[in-house]
Order: sequence, then structure tokens, then C-alpha cells
Amino acid sequence: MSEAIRPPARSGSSDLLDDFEGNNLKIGGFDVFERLWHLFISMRTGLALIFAIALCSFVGTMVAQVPQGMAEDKTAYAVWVDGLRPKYGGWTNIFDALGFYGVFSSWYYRGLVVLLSTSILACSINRAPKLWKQATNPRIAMSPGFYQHAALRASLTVPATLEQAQVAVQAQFKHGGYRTIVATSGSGVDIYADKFRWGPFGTVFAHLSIIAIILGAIAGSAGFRDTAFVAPVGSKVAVGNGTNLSIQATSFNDAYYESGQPADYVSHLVLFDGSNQVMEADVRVNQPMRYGDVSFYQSFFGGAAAVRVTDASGAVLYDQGVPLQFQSQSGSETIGQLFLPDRDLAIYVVTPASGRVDSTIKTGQLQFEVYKGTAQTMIGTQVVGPGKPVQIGDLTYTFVREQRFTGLIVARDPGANFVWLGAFLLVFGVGLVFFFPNRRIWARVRQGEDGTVIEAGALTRHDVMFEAAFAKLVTDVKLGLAGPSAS
Amino acid sequence: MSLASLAGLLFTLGSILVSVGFAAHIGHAVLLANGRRLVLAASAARSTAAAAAASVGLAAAGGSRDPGAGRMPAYAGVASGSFVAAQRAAIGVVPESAAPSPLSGAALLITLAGWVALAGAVLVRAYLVGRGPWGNLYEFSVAFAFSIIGGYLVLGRRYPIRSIGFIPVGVGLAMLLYASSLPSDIAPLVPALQNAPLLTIHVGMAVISYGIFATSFAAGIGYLVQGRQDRFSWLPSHTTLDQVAYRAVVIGFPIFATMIILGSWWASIAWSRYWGWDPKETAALVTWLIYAIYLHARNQRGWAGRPAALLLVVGFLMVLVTYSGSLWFSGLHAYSGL
Repeated sequence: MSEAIRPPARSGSSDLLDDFEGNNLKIGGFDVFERLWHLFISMRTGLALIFAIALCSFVGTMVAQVPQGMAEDKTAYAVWVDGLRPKYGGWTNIFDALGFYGVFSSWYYRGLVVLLSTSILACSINRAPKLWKQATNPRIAMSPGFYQHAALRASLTVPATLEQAQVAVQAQFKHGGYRTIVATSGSGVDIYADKFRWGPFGTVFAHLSIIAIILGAIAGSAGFRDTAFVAPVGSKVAVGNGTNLSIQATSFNDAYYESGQPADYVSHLVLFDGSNQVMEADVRVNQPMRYGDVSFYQSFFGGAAAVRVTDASGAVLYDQGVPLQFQSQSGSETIGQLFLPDRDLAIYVVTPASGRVDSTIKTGQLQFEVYKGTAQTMIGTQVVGPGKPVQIGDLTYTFVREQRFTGLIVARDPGANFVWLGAFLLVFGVGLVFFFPNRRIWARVRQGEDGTVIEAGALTRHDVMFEAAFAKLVTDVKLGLAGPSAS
Repeated sequence: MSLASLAGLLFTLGSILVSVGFAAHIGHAVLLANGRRLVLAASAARSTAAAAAASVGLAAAGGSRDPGAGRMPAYAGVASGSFVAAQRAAIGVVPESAAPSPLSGAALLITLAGWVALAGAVLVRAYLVGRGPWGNLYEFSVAFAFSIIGGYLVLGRRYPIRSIGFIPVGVGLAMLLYASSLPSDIAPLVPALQNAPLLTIHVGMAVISYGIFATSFAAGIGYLVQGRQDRFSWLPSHTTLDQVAYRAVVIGFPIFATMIILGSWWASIAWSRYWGWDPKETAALVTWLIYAIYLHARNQRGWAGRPAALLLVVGFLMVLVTYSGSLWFSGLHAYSGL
């Protein structure tokens, strides 16, 4: 623990103690830059920004937030806001005007995050070199005033020689796990002792972790997240989004407890990369399937209709399940849609909703509605039972059988690893700074009129346990040098 | 008797004991406020400590001063001020807030017994459900109360905070009463919660950190009442309250951070993304930010003292908002009732 004697620190030595003595960082050059720099390294700026973010987040917590993507569709957004009127009454439009329904995607929220990131970065850049010097080249000799005004201080007059006192002090520091650095001067011996000198770097890690997490979130936007990926059982569906993957759900099962509460949703998925099968797995809510950086999550499920479409020559144009994932406005029917772009056709398949008897379509039957082009000109509509082909326009449509579909979320997040790195840094940094607190004590041993005088002083702003540890050290020094008179 | 009945019985027993412990804590605080303390016991213990501290020539600027020295009791002259004033010379430097009263021992022991009974209830329930027993609002509320009282008992071993003990014990009791109004049936978990390791650790960390923050809340309330002038001698000094609160937050903050991170990890498994601005997770973020502000602000001029204490109160209110999230807002956490 003990280190070689070093000369006293130069008067220009940079240390966090410089702040204690009123010296501030000087940055030469452009005044505006200097002002900005001081603004961003200011703790008050950081606190104000965190406070503003907390306040906005609180609003976003308590006020309903518009679903992702809906804000861009003004009609849908207006309908959604109208749905809030029973809840918010006269505040509905005021909240809307204040942007409370989209806090987390608002310009001001993002602006606050950018400003906070800048402040965190500036603080870290400002602080890290000081911490480095404090750990590697600390100030050893303190002024007499320090020993009179330090937050923790003690003074002992002991009947021992200067060397004996120095050895006793160093021995107690060493016993307490402190590193000591000693410097001699004309007036006596200065002893610097510290413990956990790398602990303060925890603040740098913790602050930079926020930057890493924000960078991870930004990097994540380069990925994709398809929340409405529907795979009818038996059908092979392309994942898209720049991948060459496709999914075939070979089964979907849902199970329930006796109370009716859901017990399990499980899809058996086969994954193809191009034409090669590369993976096969059961996917549950807490058991996603991961292939490379693409993940497949069980999300929802529903009914589907297996449909075949053929042309006049008998060529099959479509032979897959159509997920019935929409509802009619009355709720009486479930609706699916399929497109045949080569024929410029949009086909809707309509079935009675489960448990509803008010539909004009009988249970077990399906209605085809065929439209032409973007004008949505109806070509024809027919209600059919399973296995019976019907002719609508030039094509033949067959409702093969009822099916189910599994609804998945397919996502790729290239920024997630940054986020987990940031999370690790956060916990590591916070743990380091709180559970390995840097403790620094300065002691001075000099010859007094009544014997050798030992003075010790320490700063304590954060570490509430330090006071007791300091007292114990001083007491142990005293006991080690028996028979002193305390002053 | 079935294990489920045993868990219920231990919960009931724990609730009753905590109720009595709460009443005893109130009684203890009232006795101290009126100067009815056990003078001799306190005097002997404190005189020894004071002598030891004085003998080594220690000093601390605004630090190791004795919190009780030179202060009048809270209601001196109102009920029994003359009694207290007469005993001050004998007491010497005894802080009134740390002095025992006829009820102080009972307050601690009965609360401890209630906490042990709750520990039994939580453990039996954990055995029955095969995971951390905090999968629904009833289980979480019981565990929350257990943690609040545990946090107070642990911090109370180091700091003389029994005179404000009625605050954390009272919050714990409120949780137990609320839990008693909830269905306690053991129900199987819905698919989204079927991740026993993460449920146990993620929610368990929420339980622990929430519980520790309750003591910082009590200290914050005490500080706001006490002020820098140490107005009430029966309350711990503002220095002690500040230290207790800081200590509690220093312990709770990293646990709370880890809880959020593990929640994100779980969300990345079950909900496809680590963060989705779900109201409950956002409420947790706001809570964490408030404690982050506190940790930064505590040593800043203009923020230290009462503003920092106010942050502790706001922080714990936000803990309660987060805890009761399913009552305030809908979201992905709603299925659990948490």
C-alpha cells in the first residue's frame, strides 16, 4: 500500500481539491464556446434537464399516448382523440394542443434528451481528467488552513518522535486498507492516504452508460419491427424488410385454465432462408425464436380461411390461408383481404364473427367480394360453403377450409447490444461509486511545543459512513501512541 | 392445516402484530415528544459514547455535533417540559430522539415479530407458487409491506430513527390492509408472466428497492418537519435524517436501476423490445430520475436540505404511483394487476 516518497504536488497540480480552493477550469478562446461549455458542465443544467425529462415523462405516463404510426394519419388520429373525450372531457383538446398525446416522439422531448446527452458528455469530459489526476497524482501537502476547516478533522499531540508518529499514522492507514504517499518538508511530514481511488470513475461509467443507451436506441431505428406479421397455419409467408427469410407456421395451439384464463399460446414455426430450412422451433410468449439478429415473437392469433384462386386455364394464382384479422364496423363479421397485383384485383373474404348470429352470412360459409383496381370497382360477390368453387369475373374462387393464423412480431434491432452495454455500465458505475467510495485523508506530522502534533483532515460530501471510519482511524492512531494529551 | 392456510394465517398474524407495532411506535413518538423517556439508560450509554468521542479530539464541521445538545424538547412546557428540562443536566448530550421510552422496546420487538410472521407468509407462499411470491397485486402488496418494514428495521439498527418509525411501519401497515382487501387465491400465471426466474428477480428487486425507499420517505418527511434548526428534539436531528435518507437511496437506487434493466431484458423476450414507453415502465423511469436528481442535488447549494427532502417525498409518491399503476393507467403490465 505504501508508496515511495514523492515531492509535494506542484502548485499548478490539477485535482478536484482545486474546486475546494476556488480554482475553476479555465478554457481559453472563444467566449461563446466557453459560456456554452460552462453551461453544459454545470450540475444545475443537468439537474434542470433531468427534471424537465422527468416531468414530460410523467405527463406521458398519465396521459394516453397515440399508438405508433397513427399520428401521421390525421383521420385516424382524430377518431382516436374523439375516443378520449369521455375520459378527459374538456381537457381533450387542450391536451391535444399541448402535444400530450405524443410526448415521447415530440420534438421537445427529443430535444431535451439531446441536451441532456450533451451535458452528460461535457461533464464526463470535464471530470475524467481530474479524476485521473486525483487517482494517479494526488495532491499530498495541504495548507494549514485545510486542517482547520476540513469537514472532518482531528488534532493529536503525542509524546513520540516525529518518525514514530509518522510510522504509527502510516501503519493505521495501511491497516485500514489505505494507500499512503509521503512527502517531507522543512516543517514536517505530509501523508496522503486514499482508498478505492478508482471508485469515482463509476460516475463516468454511469453517465456514459446513458449515452450508450441513447446511441443504442438511435442505432435500433436502422432495424425493423413488424408488429402485424400474420402467418396462416400451413402457409409460407415472406418476412421481407430486407431479409431473405420466410416463415411457415405448421401449427398454432392455445390452451386455457379451467377459469378461462389463458395458459399458453404456442406456434410451431419453420424458418427458411431463401429456399433452405434453417430453423424450427416452438414459439411462445416468453420464448421467442432468434435467427441471427432477427427475432420472432408470439403476439396474437385468430381465424383464417384457406382460399384457392384459379384462372380459366386452371392455373393456380393463389393457394394460401387468408388471415381474418379485421372486423366489420358492426362487429358481426371478420374480414380478410388478399391481393392479386398481376390481375389488379383486391379480394375480401368475409365470415361471421365467432359467437355472432346477427351476420347475414351463415356459420361455416364465406363471402368473396372482388374489386378491380385502385378505384375499387366491384366485380362481384358470392357466399359459398367450403369446397365449392365459384366463378366471379374471369377467375374461380374456392373456400377450401377454415384455418387459424398465428400473429407474430418480427423484429431486428441492431442497437440492442449498445443498450445492454449501457445497462451494464450503468449498474457497474453506480455500484462502483456507491459501494467502493473513494476516501481521502491528509495528515501532517510536525514538531509542536508540547510534543509531536498529528493533524488529519478529510472532505466528506457524499460518504456518510466516512465520519465513523475517520474517527476510528484517529482513535487507533492515538491508542497506538499511548499516553498522549489530546488537544 | 394446508400450507395455503398457513400462509394466510401468518399474513393475518403479521398484520395484527404490525398494527400493534405501529401503535407502539406512535406511542413511543408521543412519549418522546412529551419528554417521557427512560432517562437513566440513555444517559449511561450516551455519556460513554460522548466521552470516547471527546477524548480523541475529533471535530467535524457541521458533522459530528451532537444532535440533541442545546435543544429543547418539542413540546417543552406544554405537557411535561419542566420534567424534561430538569433532566437535561443528567442526560448531558443525549439526543432526545434516540432515547428509549417505556414503549420503545415493545415497538421494536412487536414490529420485528410482525415482520418475521410476514417473512413466514412470504416464504410459504413462495414454496406454494414455486417462484417469487409477487405475481399479482395481493402477493406484491404483502411483499412490499414486508420489504418496507425490513428496510426500516435494518436502517434502524444503525441510525436512531425509532421516533419516526411510525411512518414506514404505517406505510407497511397500509399495504397490508390493502392486501387484505384483495383476492389472495393462488392463480396460475398468464403466458406473459411465465418466466419464473425473471419474475422472481425483476419484481423482487422492485419489492426490495420500494421498501428501502419507504425509509428515505420517512426521513424526508422528518427532515421537512424538523428543518435545519432541529425544531423538535424528539425527532432525529436533520443531520441524522439526511444521512438515513441518503443511505437508503444509495442502497435502493442501484437495485431500482437493476430492476428497470431486468424489466427491459424481460420485455425484450416477451414483448419484442426492451423499451416501449409502457405507462408502468415509464413511471418507474420517472421514479428513478427523481432519485437521480436527489443524488445529484443533495450536495448542491440551493438544493440541499429541504428541496432534497422534498425530492425524497415526491420520489416515494412516485413509487406508490408506479406500484399502483394498474389503477391509474392501462398498459402491458395490466394483466398482472401490478
